[in-house]
Amino acid sequence: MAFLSEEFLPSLFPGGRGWDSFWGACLGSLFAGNPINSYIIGGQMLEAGVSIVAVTSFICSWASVGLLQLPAEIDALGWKFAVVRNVSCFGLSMGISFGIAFSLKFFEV
Amino acid sequence: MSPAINRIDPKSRYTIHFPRLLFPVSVLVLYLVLWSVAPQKTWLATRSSLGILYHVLPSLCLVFLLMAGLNLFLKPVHFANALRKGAIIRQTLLAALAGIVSAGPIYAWYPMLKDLREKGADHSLIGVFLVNRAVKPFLLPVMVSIFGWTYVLILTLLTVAGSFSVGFVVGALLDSRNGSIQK
Repeated sequence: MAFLSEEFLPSLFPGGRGWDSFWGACLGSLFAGNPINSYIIGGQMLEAGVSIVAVTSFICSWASVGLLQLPAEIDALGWKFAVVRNVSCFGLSMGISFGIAFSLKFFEV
Repeated sequence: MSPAINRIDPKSRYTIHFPRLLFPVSVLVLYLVLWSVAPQKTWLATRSSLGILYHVLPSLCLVFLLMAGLNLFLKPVHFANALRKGAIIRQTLLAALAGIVSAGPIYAWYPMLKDLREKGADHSLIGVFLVNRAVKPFLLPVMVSIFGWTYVLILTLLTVAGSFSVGFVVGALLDSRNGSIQK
């Protein structure tokens, strides 16, 4: 974060809930590893001014969509299952991010 | 030290530990390279990283204890046995619970899921299990320290609820009535 300009991260998510959610989910899908990393990176993204919608879809897709482990999932459970599950989880990540935004607005947090 | 341990080839110790050290050593090398290029920004990054570590350290200690306890008492075979019995609603709830409390890398779970699938478990149950792996009860303290209780609670509820919809979609597309994969 120290090496990125303050404008860099918000520029990746130019606004509009739909696109923020989509790009957040795309970014999260590319990463793998312990979800604790996504929490820390997500917290830093929030501090940098990225929307809660983008951060939420990023966190959700990090943990539930796995492009890097797709070959292993295909090998164990078949390509149909792997593709359907990952596409569903990508959609779910976006859905949850909208749900979070709505809920936080509803509870006025 | 026992004689068996004494017989271990000293070289093999380094071979075993090298992959574990790869990431921290890479980070250290990266910091040293950046230090030579931009010392001020590297110092800022180091301070920022140490600040984050200080912030999450108490939570990490709790996480370590919870994970150790969980790994000690719950094994993949326990879940496999539970997921093969009972009505579909019970199986779905058990799959969700198993996903929530499961720990460790997903690669360790694929063989068990493959075995479950071969023994007739529905794709929908495996889908529910995998989505609920996104809920990490032992990481909640860290998440709460960053995002707050309200956010974490809503996210957890939405993830669990959403896992059932993923299970439904996966089941509708892949499971036939007799449990075999649809052609």
